[in-house]
Amino acid sequence: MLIIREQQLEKFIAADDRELLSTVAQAVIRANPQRVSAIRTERLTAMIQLGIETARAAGMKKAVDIGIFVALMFEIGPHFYRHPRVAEVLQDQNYSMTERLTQLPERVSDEVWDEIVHAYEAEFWFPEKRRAAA
Amino acid sequence: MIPNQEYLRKAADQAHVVRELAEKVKEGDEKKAAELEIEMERLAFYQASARGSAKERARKVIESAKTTVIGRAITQPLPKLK
Repeated sequence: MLIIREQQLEKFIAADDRELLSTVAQAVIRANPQRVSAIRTERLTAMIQLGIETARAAGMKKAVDIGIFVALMFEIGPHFYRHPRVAEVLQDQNYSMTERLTQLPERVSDEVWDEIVHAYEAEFWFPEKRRAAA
Repeated sequence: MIPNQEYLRKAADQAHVVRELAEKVKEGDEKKAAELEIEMERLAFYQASARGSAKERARKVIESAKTTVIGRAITQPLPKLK
C-alpha cells in the first residue's frame, strides 16, 4: 500500500513559493471568477502574494489553509481573521487549522459575517498607495 | 442565494464613481489612474457582496478553495520509484 505523509502531500500541492502562488491563484479564481475578472494580472498576482503573506503571518502553514484563507480575504474582507469571533474559532486547539477554517460558517453568526463585510477596506490591497499617503 | 439589496445599491453607486473616474483618466488625468484601480476593486467587492448572504458565500468559497488546493495533489504526477 502506498502511504503519502502530510509533508509529501504538501510537496505535491506546492513544492515552492512559486507553485504556492499559482495554487492559491487557482483557488481564488475558481472560488469566484467574477470577483477577480476585472483585475489586471500583475495586480492580481500582487494581491494574492499579499494575501499569502497575511495568511502566513496569521499562522497558516499548509497550502490548503493558505488557499482557503486568501479566498476568504477576497470574498469577505482582507481583515476577516481579526474579528474577535473569527479569531476565537481560528485559535481553537481542539481542531486542525483546516477543520477550524471549514467550521467558520457554522461557528460564526450571520451578523458577524455582515460586520466583516461592512468593515471592508479596498486600500488594504494597495500597500504602495498606503505608503505614499503616509 | 437571495441578492443583498444593500450591496446591489452600493454596487450601482460605485459603478457610477468608476465611470466618472474612467472618463477623467481617458481625458488624460494620469493621477486618477491609481485612484481608478482602487475604486474598481471596491466595485468588484460590492458586486460580490451583492450576490447574497456573506455567510453562504464564505461557505461556498471555503469548499471551493479546499477542493481546488487538494485537487492539485491528485493531479500532480507521482515521483518515480527508485
